[in-house]
Amino acid sequence: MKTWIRVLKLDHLQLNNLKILRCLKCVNEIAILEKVRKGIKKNLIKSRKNSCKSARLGLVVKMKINIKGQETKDLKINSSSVKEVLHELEINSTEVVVKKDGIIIHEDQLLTNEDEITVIKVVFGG
Amino acid sequence: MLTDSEIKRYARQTMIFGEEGQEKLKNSKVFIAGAGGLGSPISIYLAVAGVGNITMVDHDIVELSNLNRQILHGDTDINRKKTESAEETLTNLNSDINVNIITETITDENVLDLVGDSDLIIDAMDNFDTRHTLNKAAFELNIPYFHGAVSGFDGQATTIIPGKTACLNCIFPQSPPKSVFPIIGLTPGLIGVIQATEVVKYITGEGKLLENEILLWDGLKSEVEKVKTNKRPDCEVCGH
Repeated sequence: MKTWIRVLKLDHLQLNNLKILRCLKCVNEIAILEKVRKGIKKNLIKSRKNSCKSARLGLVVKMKINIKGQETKDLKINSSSVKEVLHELEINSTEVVVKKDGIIIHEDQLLTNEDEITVIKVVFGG
Repeated sequence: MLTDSEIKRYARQTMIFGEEGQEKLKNSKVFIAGAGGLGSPISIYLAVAGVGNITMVDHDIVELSNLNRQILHGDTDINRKKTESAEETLTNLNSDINVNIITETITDENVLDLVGDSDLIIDAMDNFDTRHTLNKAAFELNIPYFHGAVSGFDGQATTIIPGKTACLNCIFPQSPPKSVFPIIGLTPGLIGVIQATEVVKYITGEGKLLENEILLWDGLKSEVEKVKTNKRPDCEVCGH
């Protein structure tokens, strides 16, 4: 059975002109196909491992987002990296750091379904 | 070697780290970047703790609006250079230490000369551009960098050890935009004292440092949180 999902900007490499991604969850290589839907070019991938949760994500990523000082919200985000999530939330990435599982994560880090992140405002005065 | 006067002055803290620890403080050379809100509590507590050689750099003059937080300076210091006011305050608190003041703006060009042979750098700046300059200098000189920053009731502090911890650029790769920030003196008071505590622990070898973690202070909730930090493999400063 084929499982098609949206590419979540996985660590990729080029091999014989065929784009290969490495799934961060199951670490298996995943072949890429491309499909144009409603005028928007979307990358689609096929997981070689049915048990991989990343491969069953669907088209949106749902995550808990807490902007420090505010209540935690469940948001459906059409983004995959911290940078894109901040952009989608219209938060200036230079003014915040993002925490996941008690660790500050980098802007280019990938987020997956059910991740819980906290956006923390950076203070700069002295 | 401690003098009789020093043995008496520091008697209550040598109970913690011994005369050996006190001698380490006496022989240490610290560089404090900024004589403002953070620089005030940092320098005051390091001076009274007996840190023997304090270099302080600031280019500003004292203004009335500084006095809600910059406790190195008082009413009679308005329009004086902050460094001169700081030197007077610190030597009044402890005449056994050497205070070296430099009235300059810290830049990429002069930072290494200013830091000189200091053992460590303490960040008491009010902007991230200069912090990044100091972070690079610390990495180049292979000396620790003690970061602190404040705004309103919020503050943060971390200790950066080149080669061992994430550097400032790993944690904050971009500088937040400069602006006038709201502040009440007790926030830099608290964060500055945390930075000074880290410095004393580093010099004496006591306790555990804020390495690879950043302390976040929320004064409105009286909450402290520690968040782990990781080196960024592609960091322009320490990632090579």
